[in-house]
Amino acid sequence: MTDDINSKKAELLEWLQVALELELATLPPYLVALMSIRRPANRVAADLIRGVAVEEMLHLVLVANVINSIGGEPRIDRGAVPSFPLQMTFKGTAFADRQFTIDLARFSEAAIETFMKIELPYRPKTDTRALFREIVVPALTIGQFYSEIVTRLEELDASGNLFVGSSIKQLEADYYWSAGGRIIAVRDIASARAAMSLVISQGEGAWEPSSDVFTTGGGDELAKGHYYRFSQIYHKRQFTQGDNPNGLPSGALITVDYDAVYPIRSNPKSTDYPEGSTAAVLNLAFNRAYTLMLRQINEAFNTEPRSLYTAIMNGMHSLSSLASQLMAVPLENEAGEHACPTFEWVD
Amino acid sequence: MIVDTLIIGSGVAATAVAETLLAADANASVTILEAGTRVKTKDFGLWEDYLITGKLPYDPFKDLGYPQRDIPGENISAGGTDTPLNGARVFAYGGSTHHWGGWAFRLKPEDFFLRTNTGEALDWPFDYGALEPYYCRAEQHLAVSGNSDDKLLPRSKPFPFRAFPYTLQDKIYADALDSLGIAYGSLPIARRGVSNVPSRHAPCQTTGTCKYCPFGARYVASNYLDDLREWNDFPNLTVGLGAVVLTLVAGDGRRVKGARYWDRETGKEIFIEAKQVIVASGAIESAKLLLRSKADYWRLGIGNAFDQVGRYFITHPYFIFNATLDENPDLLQPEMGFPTLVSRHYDSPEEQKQGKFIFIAPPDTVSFSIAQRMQRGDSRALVKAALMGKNKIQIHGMVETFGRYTNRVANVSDLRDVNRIGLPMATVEYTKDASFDARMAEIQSRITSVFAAMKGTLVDKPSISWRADHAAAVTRMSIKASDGVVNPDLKVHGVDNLYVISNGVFPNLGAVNPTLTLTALALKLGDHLVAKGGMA
Repeated sequence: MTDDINSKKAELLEWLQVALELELATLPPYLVALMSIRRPANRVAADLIRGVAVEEMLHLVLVANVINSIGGEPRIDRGAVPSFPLQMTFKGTAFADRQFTIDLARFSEAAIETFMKIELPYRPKTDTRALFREIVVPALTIGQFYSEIVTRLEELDASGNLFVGSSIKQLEADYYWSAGGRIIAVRDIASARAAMSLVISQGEGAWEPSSDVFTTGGGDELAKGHYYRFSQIYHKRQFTQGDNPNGLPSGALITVDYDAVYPIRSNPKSTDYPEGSTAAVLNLAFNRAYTLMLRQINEAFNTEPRSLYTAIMNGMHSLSSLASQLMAVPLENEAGEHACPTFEWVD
Repeated sequence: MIVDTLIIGSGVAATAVAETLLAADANASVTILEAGTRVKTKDFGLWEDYLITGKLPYDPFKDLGYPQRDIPGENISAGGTDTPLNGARVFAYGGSTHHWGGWAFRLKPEDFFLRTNTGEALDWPFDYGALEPYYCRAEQHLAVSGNSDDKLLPRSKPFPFRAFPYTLQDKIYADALDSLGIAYGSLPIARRGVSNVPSRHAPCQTTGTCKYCPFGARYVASNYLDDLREWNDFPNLTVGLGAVVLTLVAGDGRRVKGARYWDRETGKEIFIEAKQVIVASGAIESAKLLLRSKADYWRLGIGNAFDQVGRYFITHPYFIFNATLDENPDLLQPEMGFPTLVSRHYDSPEEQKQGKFIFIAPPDTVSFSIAQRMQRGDSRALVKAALMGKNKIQIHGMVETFGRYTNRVANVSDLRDVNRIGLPMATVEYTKDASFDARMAEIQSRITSVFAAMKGTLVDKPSISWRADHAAAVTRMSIKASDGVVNPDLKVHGVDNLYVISNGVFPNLGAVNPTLTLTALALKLGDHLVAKGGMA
């Protein structure tokens, strides 16, 4: 490989690491909104958020598979962990379609609005990047960012032996369940393209919706892009067969009660909780379990794929009960807020 | 408050009926009462504990053994043949699906005509064709993996998941059966496979720890009920745990008014009024509940005008034959925690009169423990030589037996004698047929030839377990009220708003595990109630 190819590949791996962190970063906000709901209220909304969150986990794995397929090392460590309020940047510049910050916050109309912005389908605009290429780092949309990744994968594949990673590290279909899409093991450009296009089509990078999005399968929630699922909560109505994707949903009503939530503190830090308080104790337990799970995921991506089961069964499943307990704890402040897990890495 | 539908029990039958009612009307008022409590499923810690200690988290919710000399136990065995209840069932939210193996067989067409074909027991009031669409739905509900190309039985839809492949060990059996012209196939099993169908449960990872699946890949009804409750908007679905139903309460005329239960948490007795009641507490407990629900008109218990409740008790004797194989050149060792090969060759019309049987290649065909050898300090060479040399192999199976009026289950005479759950203990009175031993001898000669074709030699007599896992027929379906307990719609004869759904309603068992058929019947009952619209 020439130096040029090597440096292009190194750059591609950097982008893919950003993609990995991008997917990881959407999870705490979605999960906090989901967990803040006081059951049994908002069942439909909860299920919609849950499905999207699980698919973001799928995206994390798909990106890791692409990184491993070309011999990179997906890093899930202290440096990869998001901190809230969060602004995702690329080369120091916020993405063109992410000029807003993302909070860890309770289920609310504002939160759903933000989620819609996160998942907003990419609408092609005049590409002005060429004009500025020499001057500033271009502000990419996330859709453009992902398509750049695919283009670069294709380019490098054409010029040599790109897929040199050990296939042992590929996570396969049976590591995933419970929502739409499936894991694609990446071994060549076709499977890499398929993995990336699944990320794009389900999620934040969705291309401009064709008008036939809802001509079939209007009732299948898991076939709808994330934007549309959140949009249904926002408009309190389901999209149905024949709906215009650029218009409003016209299907069944969804009951949404933004008051049926724990009034959790937004963007909390562990320092917000007095030492020795119930909130501090539970939050530390949560952060330890969260960190342990991230380490287990890192092990699954880099050493032993089967560790993903441990990450799921031991790590992830222990988080939800801790989060529920935490959110039931009042902080005894004037605002009447409740505690919320802080999603911080602890050593 | 009056609930529309009260379901007693929370196992697979209760779950499948509830699901059907709620699918038709999300606002349906359904209350499920379960005597036991929750056993945590899919818990990593409990799973690890099971791996290390071999103890299962639902062990405390099984019957104790029958009392013996200085060991206090539970229940009474009053017949000539001991049919242990210990280990046969689980009293917990989710019922016996906590411990079942997941074998999900359909009955064969001839099983529906046992009386016509053999003079034994009763015919079913409908045939295989009538149940077939429900079998398909039951296979979906239980997430069954199986071979859709198997021509043994007609099917209108493929299995939801493809069959698990045969293990290498199965080859020993397959070769022998091929040489003898004995048919075999993949064992359909309720373990979720990999597919594009999203599920809240993980696909089977073949950990071999099926008795406590860390992923929920093997069907457990409580996981399914939890999903129904957590992720659907069913505002009028209630599940009450620790609710030990003492009696059904008779109402005016041909109706029941509801049930009286003992609430374990408060210690109080509570009456719950219901427009219709579905008893789904397993074969034995369902019969016992009817028997102890006495009223002026129902002197022998509700639905027992003809002294049919609790009668015709059957279960499957489970046999284990042992043989030695002189050599094991392929170094075969146990692979998975569940079987993949079954022969239903003798589950045929020709065998029906004598008692049809099936047999399987057990998952630990060659019972060899490398770990044990290593702990003993054997060298690699020794372990290899031992594994390649003479080893024990087994064939397991079960055989159909026929209902007798005198074989029965009942409550113990003093209802204050309760088990650890709080339910009155059971009396099981069972004596095997005089002809049974001769039938086992015939089975033994056939199994011996299978072993011989493997170059194995039968050793010892088979062990036969009469454990009442498949207890059935004690509230059997009949067209005439004098022949059974429930009608073809599973409604108790003589009562307009009381149903039973358990293995108890089977007129006979065939030679296979009953759960798939039970699920199909539960879905059929659900459809019947929905079609009726409104309440009885």
